[in-house]
This record gives sequence, structure tokens and C-alpha cells, in this order.
Amino acid sequence: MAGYITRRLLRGVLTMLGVAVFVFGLLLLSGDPALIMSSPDATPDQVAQLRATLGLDRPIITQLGLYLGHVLRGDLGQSLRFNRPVAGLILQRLPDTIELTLAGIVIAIVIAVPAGIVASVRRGALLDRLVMAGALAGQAIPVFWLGLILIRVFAIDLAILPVYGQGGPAHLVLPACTLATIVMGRLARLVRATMLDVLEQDYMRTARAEGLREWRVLVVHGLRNAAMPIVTLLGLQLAQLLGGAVVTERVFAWPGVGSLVVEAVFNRDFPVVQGVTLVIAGIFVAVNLLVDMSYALLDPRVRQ
Amino acid sequence: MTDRDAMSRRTMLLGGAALAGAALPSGQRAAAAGRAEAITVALPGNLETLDPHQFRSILTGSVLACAVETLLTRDVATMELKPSLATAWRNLDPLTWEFTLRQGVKFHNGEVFDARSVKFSIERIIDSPLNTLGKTVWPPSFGQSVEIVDPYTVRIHTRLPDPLVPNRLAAESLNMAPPKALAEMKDKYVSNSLIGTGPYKFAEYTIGRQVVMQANPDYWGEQPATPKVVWAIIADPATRVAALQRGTTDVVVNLTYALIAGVKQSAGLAVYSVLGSIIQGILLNANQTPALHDLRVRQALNYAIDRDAIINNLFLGLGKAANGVVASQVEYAIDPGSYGYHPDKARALLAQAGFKDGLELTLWQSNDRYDLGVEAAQAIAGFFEDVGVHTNLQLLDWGQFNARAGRTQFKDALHYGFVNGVWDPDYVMQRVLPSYPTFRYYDAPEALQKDLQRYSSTFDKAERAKIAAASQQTLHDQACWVFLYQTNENFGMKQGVQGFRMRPDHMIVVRDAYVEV
Repeated sequence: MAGYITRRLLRGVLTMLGVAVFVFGLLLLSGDPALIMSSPDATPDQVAQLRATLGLDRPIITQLGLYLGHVLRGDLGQSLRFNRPVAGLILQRLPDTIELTLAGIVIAIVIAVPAGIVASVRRGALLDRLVMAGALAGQAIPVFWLGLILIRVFAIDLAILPVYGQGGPAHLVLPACTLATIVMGRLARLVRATMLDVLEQDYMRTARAEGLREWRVLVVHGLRNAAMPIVTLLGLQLAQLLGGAVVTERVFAWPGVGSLVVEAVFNRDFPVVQGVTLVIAGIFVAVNLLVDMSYALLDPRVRQ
Repeated sequence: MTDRDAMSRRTMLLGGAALAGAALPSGQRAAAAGRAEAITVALPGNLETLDPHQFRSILTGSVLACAVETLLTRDVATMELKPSLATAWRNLDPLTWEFTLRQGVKFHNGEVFDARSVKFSIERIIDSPLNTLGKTVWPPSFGQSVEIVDPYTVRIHTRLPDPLVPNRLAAESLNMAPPKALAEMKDKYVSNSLIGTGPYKFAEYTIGRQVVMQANPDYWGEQPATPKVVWAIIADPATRVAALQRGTTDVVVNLTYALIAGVKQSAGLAVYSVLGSIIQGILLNANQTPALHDLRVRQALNYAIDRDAIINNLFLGLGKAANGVVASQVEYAIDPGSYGYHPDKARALLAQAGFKDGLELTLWQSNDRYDLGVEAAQAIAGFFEDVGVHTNLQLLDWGQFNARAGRTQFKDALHYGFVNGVWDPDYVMQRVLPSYPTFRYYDAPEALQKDLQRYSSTFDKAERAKIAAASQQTLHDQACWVFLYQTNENFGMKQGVQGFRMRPDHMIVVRDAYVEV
């Protein structure tokens, strides 16, 4: 078990190192940042001065070494637009994105898992078709469109939820529901498919033969055995949700990392783009590590 | 459309009440006049910075201008120069200007505003290594220096004659900053505080959320109409309008054309639309593209475009055709006459120039700078095609586009819009001089170059008007650009909002704005 976790940890560290080098390389590929950041009226002297300030006049290998050294110390550089440390900007906004993402994933689980189970149990019936049609629609609807429609209905016509921003649980409802649709459809379909497989297993028949109640058969014996692919999907989807949060945060003016990075891209604020990419990659690696470790909990065979 | 003119009847009627309440603190004044305690204005993005000298965008300049002030200012409607932190100014000789400063003014941190503040601020803008906007408005090549005559008199010396010193000191980038508070920050950007002398004090800036300003009870002038201004940051244009429809914001900035009809149809909302002074045109690279070196080709391209069709069909009629390089509202601007829409003339001129069988051009446009900018470029390309100019439209994001545009890296043609930072034709006309360091697409004929150089050092107003008019006419006749249009800036607002104004130079002025309750 310890060897399994150590191997996974080492792989995670190597992945992060690769991401850091890749992120640094992206900056070089994007052209001369000093030129792009200067005003078109800037003189060559002013551009050269900016280049020196950013350290872009040093050899590339030196720049990479310095960059990695700073990253290891938690220094992600200084935002060119806000003149504030990037790490501080991200830390200030990451909790908001995590709050939104977790709320989205909880809503997705609460709706999609029971829907998937019901669809599998009622395979081929009207209910199954309705759930699958809903799942398909959920996967097909663009997030920004759904967000605007939800604002129209619940924030303007019914006026029961706020339009944008933060301020309490009510502010979380619309963006979290919007974000949840990214995962919901896929999750419901996966739950249905894995449950269909599990429902035909001998141990399910045995459980029923023991006289257990149907919900107990489905949840304790069925869902637990279907859990591994579902956990894997949720882990992978978390990264997609963080990506989806970029659009959702913009539509709902949610002040998270997503809206920070969109603005940074538009304004060529490279250190912020680099910093957010690193942090999101870090979260992705960490979640995958947790998913790997959860296999050991869910399946005793992995532990051996 | 419900154009809300700067002097609406209601505003005029309320003028007496506003005067009567002028002596009261802002909060009491608001309560007495039946106004909301706060006004919320939705912005499309974060402020670039809180540094009073480093920002680039007019929106950031407008927000900062609640708290920081310049020596001179401009009338909201007429753009006439007016006293602000300087009460009087005069030209002593071609190289010297003298400014008398307002007494009894304090910065928000308690520092006294005096001549040292002026010297510190101008040196920070011009002489420091900071990449300030002021260096664009007032290039350091003028050799500016500030002499303190007494605590409330300064003389500004320049190495080159500069008749536009008062204009430059009225630009929003020439803000006055407190020398003691910023003593350590002369060469560094300020990111977490904003100290000025203005009617509002900076209260809060949460990136991604909002900027809050509170009325300054010790302000030297009249108290602002509303005690608190909240600048809410809402990036998505449809969400901004939704917030307005719900009533959580009072004013929406950058109302896109697609959403104008929705605002007009919503009960209790109105559209405020003001002609902007960004002069838009297609810059022609006459220096590098041989075909565009030919005057007949440049004129043909001007004849080929139906500007009114674009304005009426794409921009909902909210704009006006431009005939020259200077926006119509700018001092000394003239109307040199329209090329009009004459595709036959265009074809004939192209044939005379040897392009009877057509001509191929690349037109560059930014895909995210102007609302409907890409659609406008497509329409223009269509008009060009119609007269036999095969147009290859290329799009780039604004960051790349702007960097390449200034450094003359586009061959053929590019769409560009120029603001006028000093409110004088000089600001744009200088760009056709071969000695100008950027935008080297077209060089003026030698006679015009001499006129433009003379214009830059002419102090006599009548003479300036004469040279400016002749130069604008020549540039029009020479078809240095394809002249396009000036479009309106559009805002959505509650009908109860009064006194919210955009100056013709695009500065948003909120000190007189309030919401009726």
C-alpha cells in the first residue's frame, strides 16, 4: 500500500515539473511579451526597459532556472496588470472557484446518481427514456446559454435568485446548477451503464434471495460495486468542472480563478496565466492521486 | 431611442434643488433631495491598476478620476478647459507656462496640495522609468521641467515650444499625487491604495468584484451628488443588462448593440447614447504597398464604401460618418467634405491607376476590440470586392493586433481607431510625419510636413485654426486613410438615474450622478 502511494506521489511530482517547464515554454512561444505589453507608442528604449524589468533579457536556461526556483518557493511572479503577487491573487480567488466547483459536483451527484440507478432498474421504460433524454440534453446544452436562460427565468422573471456575484447561499444556486449540468448527463449515463452490468451479477440475486430490501440491494451491493468507474469519472470531471467554471464564472460574474484567467489571457498578463495553469494542474494531479488512493479503499484487491 | 441629453429638462428643474443642497454633506444632501445613498455602475472588467499614472484605458481613468484630479479639467459637455487644482494659467514665453495653484486643498491622507505635489507628480509621470500613459500624451522629448516659484505657483519649462501644455495637463493621465505618501513609490507602481484630492475617497477594490468610492467630506469643491459609488465588475454584457433589469445595478457601461433593443423595451430602463470621439479609419500602408502609394487607389477605396449603410444597418444609426483624421468634436476640427459612396468613380480611378482587372489587398482587423468590429470589416471588404479590390480579411486578438499596428508590421491595410489624448488635431496629425516613431504607414507630402511642424510650435489661436484646417483638408484630399466613422458609446440605465455623463473624450463623469428614489 505504502509503495503504491509513493509511486503515485512521485509520478505526480514529475507531472508537475513537466507542467512547469511546459508553462514556461508557452511564454517563449507567445512572442516577445515586452513588445505585446508595451503601448504601440512605446519607444524601443521603453520596450527594452520593460524587457529588463521582466528579466527577459537573460539566457533562456537562466530564466527557466529562476522560474522553477521561484515556483518551488511558492512565488508565481508578479501580475503585470494588477502589480500584485500572482500567488496572492490566486489564493484570494481559489476558494470561490472551489466553492462553486464543489457545489456543482454535489448537485450533479445528488441528481445524477439516483437518476442513473432508477433508469437502470427501469431499463427500457418511459422513465429510463426520459432520464437518458435529459442526460443527453444536459451534455449538449452550452453552459453560457443555460446560464443566461437560468438568469432570465429565476433572476429576472421570477426574481427569486440574484443575477450575479457573491453574497450568500442564494448567489451560489444558479452558477452551481449551471456548472453541474456539465457533469450530470455523463454521470447519469455512466451510473446507468455500470448498474446495468452490476444488476445481472450473481451476488445481486443472492442479496435479493436473502430477503434484503430493494434499496439496500441497489445501494449497498449494487452501487458499491459500481463505484470505481463513477469515482474515476468524477475525478476526471473535476478538472473539466474547473475548466467549465471559466465560462460559468464569467456569465455570473463569480469572482473566481476562471474569470481571473480569462481576463489575464485578454490582457496578456502572462504570469497570471502561468500561475493559474500550474495551480489547476496541481489540483488535477492531487485529485487523481486521491482517486487512485480511493481505489485501494473501494477494492481490497488493489491494496494487495 | 431615449437619448438622455446632458441637459435634460428634469436635470434643469432639479438644478435649483441641487444648488440649495450644495452646502450640506453628501449623505444629508442625498437624503434631502430624495436620492439613493449609492449608485452602482457595472463595468466590463477590472481596473488595470490603482496607480494614478500607469493605467491605459479610459474606463480605468474614469474610475480613478473620482478620487484623483488634474491641474485643469474640461467641461463635461463642451470640453472647454476649466480650472481644477490650478486656478489660472498663462504662457510667459514659448518655453514657459505658469500655473497658479488652488489653496486650501488637501489630499485624502491630510497632505497639503501645493507646488511640491505638482513637481513630484510630473516628475513621476515623465522622468521615472515607469511606463506611464502620460509619456504618450506628453512625450519626454519635450524636455519638461517644473520650477517651484512659491508654494502656490509653478512654472513649467520645456526645451521645445509647446502650445498644448494646458491641454496635456487636463488629460486624465496627468493626475496629481501626494509626494509624501508616494515618496517610496516614485519609481514603483502603486497597487493597493489611491490617494488624491478628488470628491470621492477610495474605499475598496476587490479584484473581480467591485471598486467602492465614498464621498470626501473635506472636498474643496461641491460635494458629489451621491455619497457612494460602487463600480461592479460584470464581464458578460448580457449579465450586465440582466443586473440592470433586476435593479441591482443602476448604470451599465459598454451596452452592446445586440442588447440595446432589450434595454429599450424594458420598463423603467433607458439607453443613454453619446457620440464618441474615437476616429475610426482604415490605415493604408502607402509606404510599403506600391498600389497604395498611388493617390488614385487611395481615393478609390474612399469612394467605394457606403459609410451610412454600415452606420445605419450595423450600428443602428448610432454614429456618424467621418471625413477626416480628426473627430468632429475636437478643437480646430473641420469637415473637409465627404467622399460619398460612388462605386463607379472608384472603379474608374482604379482603372486609371492600372488596376482595371482588379487589385488584391489584405485588411487586418482586431476580433475583440470593437463591438461589431469584425462585422464592419466584413462589410468594408464586401464594398471593396464590389469595385474589384479582392480583400483578404485577417483577424487578430487585440493584444497582438495593437502591438503590431503601432510598429508598422501590417502590410496593405488595417482598421484602427484613435482617441485624442490632448483634444487637438496635433495628436493625430503628427502621425503622418516621417519622424513620428510609430504608425509609419503613410508619410505626408513635404509641404504638409512643414505645416504640421509649424503647427506644433504655433501659439496664436487664429493661426493654429488656419493651419489645422488646411492640414486636415490636405490629408482628406490625399486620402491618407479610408475615412470611416465615429460611433456612439452606449449605456443602459434606470430611468431614475440623473446626471450620469460621458464627456466627448469618453471619460465617464459620476460626480453629478444620482438615482431618484
